[in-house]
Amino acid sequence: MRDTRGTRLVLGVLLATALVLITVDHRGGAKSPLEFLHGIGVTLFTGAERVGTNLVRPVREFATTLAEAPSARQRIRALEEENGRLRAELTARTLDRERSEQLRRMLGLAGLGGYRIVTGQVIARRGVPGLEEAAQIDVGTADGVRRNMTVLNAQGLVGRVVRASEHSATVALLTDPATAAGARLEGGNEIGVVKGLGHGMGDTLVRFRLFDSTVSVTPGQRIVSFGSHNGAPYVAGVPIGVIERVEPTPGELTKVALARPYVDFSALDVVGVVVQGPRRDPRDALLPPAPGRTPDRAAADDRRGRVGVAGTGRRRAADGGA
Amino acid sequence: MLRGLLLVLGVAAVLVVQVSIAGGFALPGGGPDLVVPLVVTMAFLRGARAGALIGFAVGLAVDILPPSDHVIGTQALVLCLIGYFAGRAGERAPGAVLSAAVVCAVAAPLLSAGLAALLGDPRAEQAVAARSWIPLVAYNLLTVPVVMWAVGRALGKARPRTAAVRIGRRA
Repeated sequence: MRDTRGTRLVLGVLLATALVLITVDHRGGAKSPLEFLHGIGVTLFTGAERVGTNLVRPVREFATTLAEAPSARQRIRALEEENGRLRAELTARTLDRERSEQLRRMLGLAGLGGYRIVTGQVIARRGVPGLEEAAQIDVGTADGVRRNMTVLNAQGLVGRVVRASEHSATVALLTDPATAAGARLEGGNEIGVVKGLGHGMGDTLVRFRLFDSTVSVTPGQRIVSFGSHNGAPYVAGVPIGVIERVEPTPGELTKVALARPYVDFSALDVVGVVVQGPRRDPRDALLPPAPGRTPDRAAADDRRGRVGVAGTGRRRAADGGA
Repeated sequence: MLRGLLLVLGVAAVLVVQVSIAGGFALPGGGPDLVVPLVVTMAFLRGARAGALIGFAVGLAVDILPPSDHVIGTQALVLCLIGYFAGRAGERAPGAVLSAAVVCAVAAPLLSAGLAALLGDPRAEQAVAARSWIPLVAYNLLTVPVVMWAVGRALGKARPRTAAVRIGRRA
């Protein structure tokens, strides 16, 4: 009996401590006095996480290689063809460059400024229901990454930086239910908010709430980020996803649709942090080609539209805005 | 002493594996949660008092393990309760580890969700949604025997059940 009482005392003390921690941290918000604990966590665990990810990566790559082997040959052939075509176009383009530079200056598009991007790798990822959908990346304040910067990858919007330490940063993903990003329907000015739904059963969707209920939304329409004030936390024009279905919301002032993000959140690897946003909204220029266009046009769009993260690190604005 | 140190290192390793694997593989349903089974089995073998302490410590580690973006202390509270009740179950019914694990696997996300709701966190509704915790329970059923075996070995007992009985009698 004495033992039970002792145990209850221990439990009570621990629960009280936890409640105090929760209260202090919750009230403090971003300036919480417990922020140093995150620093300790980063010091303790990021090294191990880096090693862990390095161990996991070859296994994952082997698995993907096996899964993709049948289609690889076809893909190589397609890429070779495209490569040849691109090389030819590149020669032509060099000739055109000077002329187009002049034209661009004339049109006042010279200040279109691209995204300045710092690339990093995901070293840890969380996705347990009820907890945050977040990822840890291996670039930090030493690389110019700050809080509230946009994170994207070659497919589209990934999330935003919520905490940055010297050599790593925490990214809240778009699928996190606690994040909200301004979004715009392709080819128009209808704006809304994208919120994460977490993930379950391997199904990752985000909820897009349009502020205007009279706007018609159809599955297949694409959405891009609307951009926040001064580009923090989200810069404008980053592809978000494709509307998959529209939810009936009779009598409500807003319209709700579910969208499938371009980014595969189950296999995040290389991401880019936008350390400087574009000076002008690139509108729909970064969206991947819509299905059903002519291949020529689509290929051209594809080249212009993708946000180059892995290779160059910095995307030339002129290519995206044209 | 050495065994305790190894145990701490082992728990840290499990936490790191948890975040590395979740990012590395596209497992259906988000993949298994190794933390709750770990706390449940350790508490089950060690009793209620140790369970509460273990749960609190592991929970605090989960709270600060990068990437984290929730209020510090929530997982400490949830896992402390889970550890206590798993320890209780271990003392009362030493054979029922699997059922204890299932109950805890269901209870942990619900507790988290309740706390999140109290704090006005929009993640609450997601955690309660059946589509997110049904796979979690299924994964826990698969991982508990493995974790049980590993923890039993780590605690220096070849057969966890007898160990639990011995601790249970002493308590």
